[in-house]
Amino acid sequence: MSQHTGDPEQVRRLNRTPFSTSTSSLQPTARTPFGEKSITPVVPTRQPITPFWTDNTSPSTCPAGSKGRGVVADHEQENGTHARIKHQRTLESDEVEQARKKLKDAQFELSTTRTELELKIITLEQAIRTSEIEREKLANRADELQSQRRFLFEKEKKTSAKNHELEEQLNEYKKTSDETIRTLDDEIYTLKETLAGLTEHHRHNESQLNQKIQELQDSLSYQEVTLTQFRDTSESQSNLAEDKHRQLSEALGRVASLELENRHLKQREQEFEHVDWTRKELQNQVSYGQQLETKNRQLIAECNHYKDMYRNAEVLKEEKAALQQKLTMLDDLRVKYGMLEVQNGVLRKEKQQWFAFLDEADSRDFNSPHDLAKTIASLRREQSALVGTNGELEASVRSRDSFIAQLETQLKNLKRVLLEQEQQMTMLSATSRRCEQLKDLAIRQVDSLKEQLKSYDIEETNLMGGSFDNSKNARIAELEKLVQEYHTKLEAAIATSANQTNSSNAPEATASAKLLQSMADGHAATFNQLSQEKQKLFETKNMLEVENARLRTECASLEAKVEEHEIAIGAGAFNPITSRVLEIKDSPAARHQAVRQHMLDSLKEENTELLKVVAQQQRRLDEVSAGDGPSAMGTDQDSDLPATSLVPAASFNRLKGDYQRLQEEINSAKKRSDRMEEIWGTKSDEYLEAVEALLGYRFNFLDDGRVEVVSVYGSAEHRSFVFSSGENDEGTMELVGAGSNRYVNSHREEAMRLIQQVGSIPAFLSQATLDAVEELEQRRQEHGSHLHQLQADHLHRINKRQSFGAVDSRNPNQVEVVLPRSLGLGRRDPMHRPPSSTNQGSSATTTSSEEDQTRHSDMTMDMTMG
Amino acid sequence: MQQQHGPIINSRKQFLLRGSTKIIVEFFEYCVNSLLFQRGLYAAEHFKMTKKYGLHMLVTTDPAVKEHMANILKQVEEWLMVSKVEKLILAVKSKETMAVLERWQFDIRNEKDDPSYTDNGASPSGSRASAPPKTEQQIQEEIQAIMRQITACVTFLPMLDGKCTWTILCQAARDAEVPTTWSDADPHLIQNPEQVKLRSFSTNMHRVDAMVAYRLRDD
Repeated sequence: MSQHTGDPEQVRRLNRTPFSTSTSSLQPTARTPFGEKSITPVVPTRQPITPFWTDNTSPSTCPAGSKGRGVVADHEQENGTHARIKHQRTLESDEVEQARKKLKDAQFELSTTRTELELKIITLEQAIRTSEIEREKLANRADELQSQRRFLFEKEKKTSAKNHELEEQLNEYKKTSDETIRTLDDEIYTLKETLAGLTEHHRHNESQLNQKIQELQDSLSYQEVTLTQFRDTSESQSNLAEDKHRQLSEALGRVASLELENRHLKQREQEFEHVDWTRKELQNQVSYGQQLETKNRQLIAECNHYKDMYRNAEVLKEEKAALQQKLTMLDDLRVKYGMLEVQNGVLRKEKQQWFAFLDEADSRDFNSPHDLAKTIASLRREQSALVGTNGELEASVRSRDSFIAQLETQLKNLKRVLLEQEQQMTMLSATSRRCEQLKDLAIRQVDSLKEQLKSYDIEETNLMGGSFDNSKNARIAELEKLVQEYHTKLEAAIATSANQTNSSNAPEATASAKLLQSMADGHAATFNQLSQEKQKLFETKNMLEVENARLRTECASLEAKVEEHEIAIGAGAFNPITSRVLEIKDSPAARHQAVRQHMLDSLKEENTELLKVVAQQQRRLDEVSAGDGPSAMGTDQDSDLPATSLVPAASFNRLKGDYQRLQEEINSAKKRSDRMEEIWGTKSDEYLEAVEALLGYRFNFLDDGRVEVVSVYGSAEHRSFVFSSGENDEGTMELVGAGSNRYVNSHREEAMRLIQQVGSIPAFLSQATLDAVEELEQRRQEHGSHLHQLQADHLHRINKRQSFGAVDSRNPNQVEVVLPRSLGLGRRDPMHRPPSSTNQGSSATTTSSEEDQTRHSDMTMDMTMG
Repeated sequence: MQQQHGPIINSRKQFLLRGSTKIIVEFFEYCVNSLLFQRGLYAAEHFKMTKKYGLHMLVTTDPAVKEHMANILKQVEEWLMVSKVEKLILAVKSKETMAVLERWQFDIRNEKDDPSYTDNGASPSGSRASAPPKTEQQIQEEIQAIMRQITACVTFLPMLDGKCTWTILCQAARDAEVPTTWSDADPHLIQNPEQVKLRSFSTNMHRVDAMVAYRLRDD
C-alpha cells in the first residue's frame, strides 16, 4: 500500500479489491417474531468493481512509458485488448451470474437453515420451559404425594394400632367369654352333679322310703295280724274274764249264801260240826276270790299293754304320715328335678345357640348369645371396615406410588429428551455458525466481485472512451436491479416464510403446551374425581360389608333355627293348624297302656280300700283303748267287723285282673310254643326231605327209639334197614333189622365187610344205594320205561325239596353195629311213611313179627370205630 | 275333543293314583313287618320269610298283628287316595316308661300337587312332565335300596333294652275324614333325639322320604 500511495489508478485498483474493508457485510436489521434478532443480508450499494486480475494481469499494470509505441501496433493491441476485455467481461459476467446464483442459493440455504434452526431453538426453549414447569409441578406433586403418603402412613399406623387394640379387646372379650363359658360349664357341671346327686339322693330316699313304706306296710300288716290276734285273745280274755266275773259273782253269791248259812249256823251255834268245814270252804272261796283278783289285775295289765300297743300304733301312724309328707317332699323334689332338667335343656339350647353364633366349639359367651353375637358382629364389622379402609389406603398409596414412579420415569424421559435436544441444538448452533461464516465469506466475495465489476466499468469507461458498451452496462444495471429485486423478494420471502414458520410453529408449541397443561389439569381433575368416587365406593363398600355381616349373622341364626326346626320335625313336631296326628284306638301300645292304666286304677282302688280298712281298724282300736273296764270291752265284743273289710273287693278284682293278664301271657307263651313246634315240625320235615334227596334214604324215627332207613330206590322191594341205639345209649348205632329178607340177604356180605370190618354205616348205606342204582339200571335195560318212570318220580320229588344244613347230633366216629345173625326179615313197605309215630312204632315192631324178634338175637357184632 | 280328553285324563290320574297308593301301602306293610322283626318287637318265630322286592322279607304270622295291620293300611289307603296323608310313623315305645325310643317316619308327598317338586332335584315340575314315567322295576329297585338301608340301620341304632311296644301314627291333613276307630293322638315326640335321613323312593304320583329318629342314651 505504501508503494501505491501517489497513484490514483493504483488507488482505484486498491479500492476495487474484492476484499475491501469498506464494504459492510451483515448488519442487524430486524427482530424475529420470537424477539430474537434476525440477521438480514444487506445488499451493498453499487460500487466500482475491480477486475480480479488487476493485481497481476491488468493492462493498467503496464508501465506508462510504453504508451508511445507505434500506432498500428497500438491499434491492434487495442483491438486485441478490447476483444480480450470483451471476452473477459463475458466471462466475468458469466462468473458473476454463477456467483450470484451461488449466492442466491447460499442465501436461500442459509435462510432456510437459519429459520429451521431458529424454529428448533424456539421449540426446544419452549420444551425446556414446559419441561421445567412440568418438573416443578411434578416436584410439587411429589411433595404433596410424599406428604399424603406420610399422612397415610401415620393413619395406617393409627389404624393398625387401633386394629391391634381391637384385636386385644376382642381377645379379652373372648377370654372373658371363655371364662364365663367355663364358669357356666362348671356351673352346669356342678348343677349336673348336684342334679345327679339330688336324683341319686332322691332315688336313695325314694328307695329308703319305699323300703320303709314296705317295712311299715309289713309291720302294719303284722300289727294288723297281731291286732287281730290280740283282738281274738282280748276277746277270749274278755270272755274268760266275763266267765271269771260270772264265776266271781256266782262265788260272791255263794259267799253271800254261805254267809247267810253261816249266819244261820251262827244262829244255830249248836251246829259246831260244820263250822270248820265252812271255814275251810270260806278260805277256799277267799283264795279263789284272790286268784280272780290277781287274774283281773293281770288282765288290767294286759289292757295297759294293749294301750301301749295302741300308742305304738299311733306312733306308727305318725311315722306313716311323716313318710307321706316325705313322699310329698319327694314329689316336690321331682318337680324341682324337672325344673332343673328344663333349665339344663334351656342352658344346653343356649349353649347350642352360642355354638351357632361362635364358630369355635370351645368359644364362650356373655349374658346372652344375642349380646355376644351383636358385639362380636359389630367388632368384626369394625375390624372388617378398618381392614377395608387400610386396604383402600394401601391401594391408594400404591397407586400414588406407581403414579409418582410414572411421573419420575416421564421426568427422566423428558430430561433425556432435553439433553438430546440440547446436544442437537449445540450441533445446530455450530452448523449455523459455520453457515454464518460461509455466508459472510460469500457476501464478501460478492462484494469484492461487485467492486471488481465497478472498477472494471470505471476502467472501461475511462480507457475505452466511446467504445464503452452502454447497453452492456445497462444490461448489467438491469441485472443488478434484478438481483436487487431478487434480494428484496428473497428477503420478503424469507420474512414471510419466517412469519409462516413462526405462525405455523406457534400453534404446535402452544398445542403441546396446552396438551401438557391439559394433561396436568386433567390428571388433577380426574384424580380428584377418582378420589371422590373412591371415597364414595369406600362408604358403599363399608355399608355393604356391614350389611353383609348383619345378613351373615341373620343367616347363621336362621340356619340355626332351621336346624332346630329340622330336629324338632325329626323328633315329631308338626303344625297343629294344618295337620293332625291320628292313631288307631286299638293299637298294641294303646292296649298296653290300657292294661297298665287298668292295673294302676285297680291298685289305687285297692289301696283306698285298704286304707279304709286300716282306718276302720284304727278307729276300732281307739274305741277299744278309749273304753275302760270290762263294760267297754263287752260292748266291743258285741259288734262284729264285716267280712268284706278284711279282704277288699278291689284286691280281689285286681288279683282277678292279674290272673287274666297272666292267663293272656300264658296263652301267648303257649301260642309261641305252638308256633315253635310247628316250625320245628316243618323244619324237621324239610331236613328229612333234604337228607332223602341228598343221600337217597328216608329216615323214620320210631317210638321205641329205633330209626328206619328206607331207600328211595325200589319202593316195591321194601328196601329198608332198622337201626337202634347201642348199649347204654352212648352215641352208637346198631343195625337191628331190615325191610325184607331178600334185601338183607343180598347185602349181607357188604354189611359184614363195611360195618364189621370197616366200621362205617354210611359206607354200607352208600354201597346199598349203589347196588340199588345198578340194579335199577339193569332193570331199565330190561324193562326200559320202568326206570324212566321211577327216575321221573324221583326227580319230581327232588325238585320239590330245598337244601338245608346238616344236623349232626351224634358222633359218627363212635358206631356200634349189631348185625342179626339170621337175615330172614319181615316184609314192610319202606316207601310208605307211617301216619303217626305211635303207629309207626307199632307197625315197625309188629310187621317185623317173629323174624324181627329172631334177628335181634341172631347175630350181634360190636364194633367201635377208632 | 277336549271335553272327551278331560275324563280320560282324570281316569288315568285316578288309575295312576291307585297304583301308586297300592305300592306305598304295600311298601309300608312290608317295612313295618321288617321293622317289627328287626327291632325284636316280636319273637322271630312269629315271622315267616317271603320274597319281595328281590329280597327275603319277613312277614308276621300272628293273626292279631296281621288284622291290626290290615285295618290300619286299609284306612291309610283311603286317605292316600284323597291325598290326605302327610306322614306315616312307626313309633317304638318302652313298655316300662312308655317313652318313645324310636320313630320311623315316612313323609309322603303327592308330586303332582307339589309345584316345587323337582324330579332330579334340578329341573322344575315342567321337565317332570317330559320325563318318562318310572317303570315298576325302577320303583322296586328304589324300595329295595330303602329296605336294605333299614336293615343296615339296625347296626347303629341303640339296643332296645327291656320290653317294647309299638304303634302306627298317621299325620293327616286337618280336613281328613276320621273314622270312629281312629282318634287324635299324641305326636310321640322323642326326647334328646338323633335323626338319620334314609333314602327315598318315588312313584309316578308320590314321593316317600324315609327317616329314623331315635333317642340317645342319657349317658
